[in-house]
Amino acid sequence: MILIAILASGCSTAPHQYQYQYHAESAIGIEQLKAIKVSNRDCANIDRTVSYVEKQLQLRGIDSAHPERLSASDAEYNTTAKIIIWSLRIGCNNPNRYQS
Amino acid sequence: MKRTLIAIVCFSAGLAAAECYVRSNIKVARQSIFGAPTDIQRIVTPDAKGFQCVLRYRLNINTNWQTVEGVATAKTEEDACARAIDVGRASILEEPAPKTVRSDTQMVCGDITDIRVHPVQINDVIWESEVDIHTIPAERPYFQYKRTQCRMFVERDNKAQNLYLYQGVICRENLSAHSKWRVVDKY
Repeated sequence: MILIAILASGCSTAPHQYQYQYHAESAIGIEQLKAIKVSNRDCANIDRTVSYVEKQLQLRGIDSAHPERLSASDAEYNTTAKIIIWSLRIGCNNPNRYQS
Repeated sequence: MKRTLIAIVCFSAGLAAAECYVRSNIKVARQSIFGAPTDIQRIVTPDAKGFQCVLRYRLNINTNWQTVEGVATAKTEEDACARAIDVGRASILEEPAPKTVRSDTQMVCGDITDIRVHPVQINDVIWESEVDIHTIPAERPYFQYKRTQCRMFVERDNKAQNLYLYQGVICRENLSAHSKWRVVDKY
């Protein structure tokens, strides 16, 4: 939810041009995933960012998984990834959503 | 000893002088309705006055889905159903302070299904009120995704004495206002 708030305000202090690691064969770790901060400035590259995060789920083998069947660590990974993805999808398509 | 006696006498006098009264507190809670009536099912039959519309729909009151029923008659089908929505809404808003208790029996025939909240899976096609609204108010409004209306939902799962809270996204199946919804994601 914090990610969404950051996305709406566009005041993220995190770097927007984080390094993609397409060369890696294994998924990035949970800490690296959590370090991905998105804001409305990432809307221009929404497809690229969403693809990258979805790729991580695929590499971890939990894409299209039922959340009830995931282990605690996989569930955390899945939720973190999905929050990034939906923050972008919702925030970029609905710019006024989080404005009070 | 003398001091103790004085204290006991004073305390007893205080008790004798104390007045007891009953204080009543009435708290009126405003019912918070989220969104418009949804998952509307209706049966319209010809009537001597025109048409009778039996409506059953779902209304989210104080974050809980409630089934609302209304029956109305009018010259046209649309008028009858528009009135039935108001009749149903009025009856449910009146419920916290009913003026009378009434009981009647009705035979209801038709294909109106009983909708209730239940666990869902990705790709399920559901009524909107089969999933709860989000616990965070800021996440409740509808949004657009791939040109369809969507909203977030939460699902509570109580297993092995632990409460798991999932969230997800549902989107309308098509652009129709009365379409069903598809579970697009759950995590």
